Amino acid sequence: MTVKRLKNSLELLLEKAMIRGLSYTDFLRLLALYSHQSELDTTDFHDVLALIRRISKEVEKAPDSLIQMKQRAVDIVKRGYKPFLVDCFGLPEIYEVYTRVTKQCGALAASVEPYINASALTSEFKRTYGSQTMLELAKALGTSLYKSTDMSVHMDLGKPMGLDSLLDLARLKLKNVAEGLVNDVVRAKRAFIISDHGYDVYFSPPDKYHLGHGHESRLAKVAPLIIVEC
Amino acid sequence: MDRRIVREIVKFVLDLLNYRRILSRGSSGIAIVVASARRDFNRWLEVRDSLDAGFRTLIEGFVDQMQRIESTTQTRWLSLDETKRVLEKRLGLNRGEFERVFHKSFDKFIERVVKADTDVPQAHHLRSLIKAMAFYALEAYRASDDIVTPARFTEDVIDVLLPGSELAVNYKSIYGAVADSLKNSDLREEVSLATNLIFSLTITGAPEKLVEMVRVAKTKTPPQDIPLVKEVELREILRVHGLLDPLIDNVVRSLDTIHPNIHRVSLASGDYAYFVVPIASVLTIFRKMIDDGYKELMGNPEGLAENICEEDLLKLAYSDDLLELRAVDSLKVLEKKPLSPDKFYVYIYVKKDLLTQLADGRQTKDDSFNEMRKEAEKFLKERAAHNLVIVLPKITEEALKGKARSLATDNAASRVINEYLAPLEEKRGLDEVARKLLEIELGDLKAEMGRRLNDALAAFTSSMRSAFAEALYYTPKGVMPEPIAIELQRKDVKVDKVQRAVDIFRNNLSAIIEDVSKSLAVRVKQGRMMLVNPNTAIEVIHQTIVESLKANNFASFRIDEHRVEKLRNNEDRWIYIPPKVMEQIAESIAKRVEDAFKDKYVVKRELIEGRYKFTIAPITLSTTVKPQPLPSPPSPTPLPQQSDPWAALKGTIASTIERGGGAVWVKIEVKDKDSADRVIRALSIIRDYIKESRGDSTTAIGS
Repeated sequence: MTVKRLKNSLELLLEKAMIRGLSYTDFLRLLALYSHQSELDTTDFHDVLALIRRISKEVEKAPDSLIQMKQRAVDIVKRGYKPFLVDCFGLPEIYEVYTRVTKQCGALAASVEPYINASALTSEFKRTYGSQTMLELAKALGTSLYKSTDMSVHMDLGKPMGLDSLLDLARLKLKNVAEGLVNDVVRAKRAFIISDHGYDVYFSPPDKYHLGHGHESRLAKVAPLIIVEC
Repeated sequence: MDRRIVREIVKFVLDLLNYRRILSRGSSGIAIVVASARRDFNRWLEVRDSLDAGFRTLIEGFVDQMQRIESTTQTRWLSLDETKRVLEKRLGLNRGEFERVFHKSFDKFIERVVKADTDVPQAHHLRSLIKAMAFYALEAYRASDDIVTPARFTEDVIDVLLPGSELAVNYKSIYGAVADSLKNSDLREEVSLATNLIFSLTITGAPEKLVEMVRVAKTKTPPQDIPLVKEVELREILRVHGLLDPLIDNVVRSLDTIHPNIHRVSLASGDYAYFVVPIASVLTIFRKMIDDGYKELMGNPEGLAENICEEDLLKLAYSDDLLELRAVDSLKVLEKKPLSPDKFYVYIYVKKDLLTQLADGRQTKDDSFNEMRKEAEKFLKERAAHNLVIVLPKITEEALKGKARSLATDNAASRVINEYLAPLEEKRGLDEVARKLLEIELGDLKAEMGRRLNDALAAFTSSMRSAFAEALYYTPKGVMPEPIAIELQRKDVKVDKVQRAVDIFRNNLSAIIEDVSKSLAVRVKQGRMMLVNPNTAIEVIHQTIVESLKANNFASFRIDEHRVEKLRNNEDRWIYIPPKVMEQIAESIAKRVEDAFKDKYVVKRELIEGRYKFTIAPITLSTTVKPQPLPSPPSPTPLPQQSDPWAALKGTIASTIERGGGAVWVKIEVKDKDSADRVIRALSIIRDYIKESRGDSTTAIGS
C-alpha cells in the first residue's frame, strides 16, 4: 500500500517536473534547495518543490519494503524482463531515465516503483538478497553492475563544494550513467533498473553542498525499481 | 535393398563357402570382396537386435566367416594412402598422381571423412569422398588452377558430406549468407577462397564434438585431424592461389567480421584458428556490431555532430578558486551574468545549429564557424572584460570518427555483455552447446573486449582533443584569437569482471571529459591573457615598478583592483592578476621593490586607500646633512578639483593602465567665464597630449 502511495506521489513529481521542462540539473538543484526555506524564493518551481517535500515526508514515515522489492524483482525476471543493477540511483537519475524513456518509447513506457531501504545502505539490500557483494548479486541476476554512481557519490560528490560545481560534476558523473542505462534498457525492450538506494543533497554552511546517504537520509531511502517496456 | 534378397545373397555366399570347404580339401582358395558404406555398417550395429532372429543369425554368421578367413578387424578403416589410391583410380588419375593434382591440405579433409570416429558420420564414406573430390576438381578446372585446393569448395560438397541432414541446411544457409555479404566487396574472390577453405576443412556433422575439440585445442597442441584451420595454413593455401602477403593480411582481417558463424579462436600454441559451426560466435558478433554500428553512425554525420555537442561539449565544466570554465549553448545567458574580477572565466561556445552544419559531412563549414566567431567577438567587445575568454569548438572529421568508434563500441559491449556473457554466469538463456562454445571463447572475447574498449577510449580522447579550434581573448589591443590544442593522458579499461566492464568504460568516458575540461582550463589561461601563479605575477609587477621608479623616482599600484600587465619579450601576451591575488602578493612586491633599491636609495613606501606608493631618492654620502625627503608625487585626483588638469588626466590614465586599460571619461563643467577659460586651457593641454602620444609608440599599455 505504501509503495503504491509513494509510487503515485513520485510519478506525479516526475510528470510535473517534465511538464515544467526541468532539466537534470534543475531537478538536482531543487533537491539541494528543498530543505532550505530561505532559498525557496529564488526558484520558479515552487510546485515541484512542494511535491519533493511531500515525498520526503512520506518516505520518512514509510516502513522498509526491500523484501517486497525482491519479490517483485524475482517476479518480473520470470516474466522475461531483463534486469540492470545499479548501486545508488538518486531521484535526478530516476527523472532522467523517466523523461528519456518517455520521450523515446511513449508516455506509458516507464513505470517507477519506489521501495524503501530504511537504512539507505547497500548492506541492507545485499542482506535481503542473501548476497555478499553487489557483484555477486549481479551474477545471480545475470546482468551488469553499474557501481560508479555510488563511487562518485562517496568520492567526488561527497566533498563539500559550491552548488554550481556540484551540479556540473553530477551532470558529468551521475547523469552519464542514467543516459547509458536508458540506451541499455531501450535496446533490451523489456527491462528493469533496480537500485539499492538513492542519495540526499546535504548543505554545509555557509554555501557548500555535498551528496551522501545513510541512516540519517531522507530521500536516499528510496530504492527504485524502474520497469521499462519499449 | 530388399531384406529378402540380402538374405538370399548372404545364404548363397555362406553355402558356397561351406561347399568349397567340403570339396577342396585344402587344395584351393576363394577370393571374396565385401564392401559396405560405413553408415550402413553402423546402422546394422544399431538395428540388429530388433531384427528377426533368423536373419540376424545369418548375417552374424556371415560376419563371423569373414573374420575367420581374413585378418582385418571389423573396425579397421582405410589409411590415408589407401584412400588416395582409391581416389586416384576412381577419378581416372594415374597411380601416384594424386599428390600432383590435389594439394596436401586435402590430407586433413580425407582423414576426417574416412576415420572410424569421423565427425561427418552422415557421409557415405568413400562414395561421398569421391564425389566431393570430383566437385573440388571441377571447380579448380573451371578456375584454371594449377592445383586443386580445398579453397574450391562449393555448396555441393555440403550435400555429399551431410546428406539430407538439418545441419546441411544450416551450413548452406550460412554459406549463402557469407556469399551475400561478399557480393559488394572489393575482395570478394580472395575472401571467398578463405571462407571456402574454412568450410572445407571444418564443417562437421557433430558440432558438439567440435566444441569439445576446440576446448582441447585451447589447452594443448591440437591433433592433425581436428576441424580447425590454423591461420598459417590458411595463409599458405592463399599463397598457392597467387595472393601476396599484404592482400592476405586484408583477407584475414576481413574474416573477423564476415559472419557470426565463422569463429576465430586462439590456440594453446599461440596461433589463431578458424572454424565454421551453426552456432554464432559471440566474438564475431561483437566485432561485427562495432563495425556495423560505426558505419551506421558515420552515415549520419550531422546526428553524430549533435551528439558530440550535447553529450560531450556541453558537459565540459571546471572550476577552482580563480577560474571557472563552463560550456554554454548561447551567449545570451552570459549577457547579464555578473563577472567577479577575482575569477577568470572561460566559456566554451557550443552553438549547436552552427557547429552541426558540416561541409561534405566531415567538419563544421567555414562560414558557420566564422559566424560563430563573429558573434563571440562582438560579445567580447561589448563585455570588454579581460578575464573573459570564449573557446570556439569545431566539429572535425577526427572528432566524428572518434565519437562514432566510442559509441559503436559502447553499444556492442553493452549488448554482448548483457545478452550473452552476464546470462552465462546466471546459467540461463543459451542452449548447452552454445554455452560450452561461449565458455571456450570467453578468454578470447574478454581479451578482445578489453582491446576494443581501450581503442574506443583512445578514439574518444582523440575526438575530444580535435574538437577545439581557438580561444578568443579580450586584450588591451582588442579581441585576439589563439589556436587551442590540448594534451590528454590515455585511459585504460581492464575487463576482469565482465559485469563491470561497461560501467567502467562509461565512467572513463566521463573522466576524459573531466580531463578535457581541466586541460582546456590550463591551456586557455596560458593564452593571450594569462592567469599566472603568484610568483610570476610578483616578478612581472616588480619589474614594472622598478622601471617606473628608475624613470620617475615614483611608482604606485593598487591592491584592490585587478591588474593587466604586458609580458615582456612576448608579442601580444598579457597577464591578468585578480584583486584577490594582488592583495596576497602586494606585500611581497613592496618588499622586493625595497630590496632592489635600498642599497643606493632611500625608499619610501606608503599604503593609502588600497594604493601602494613608492618614492626613491639617492642616499647622500654626507652624514652631517640631513637627507631631505623627496616631495610627494602628485596623486591623481578628479579632473574638476585639480588645479592642474594635465596632472589629473595623467593620473587618471596611469590608474586606468594599471587596471589593464579602458576608456577615460572626461566630464567638462562650464559655469561661468572663468571656468570656460579653464576648460579651454585644459582641452589645449589634452590636445597637445594626444599629439604627443601619436608620435610616441611606447606609450602606456592599452593606448
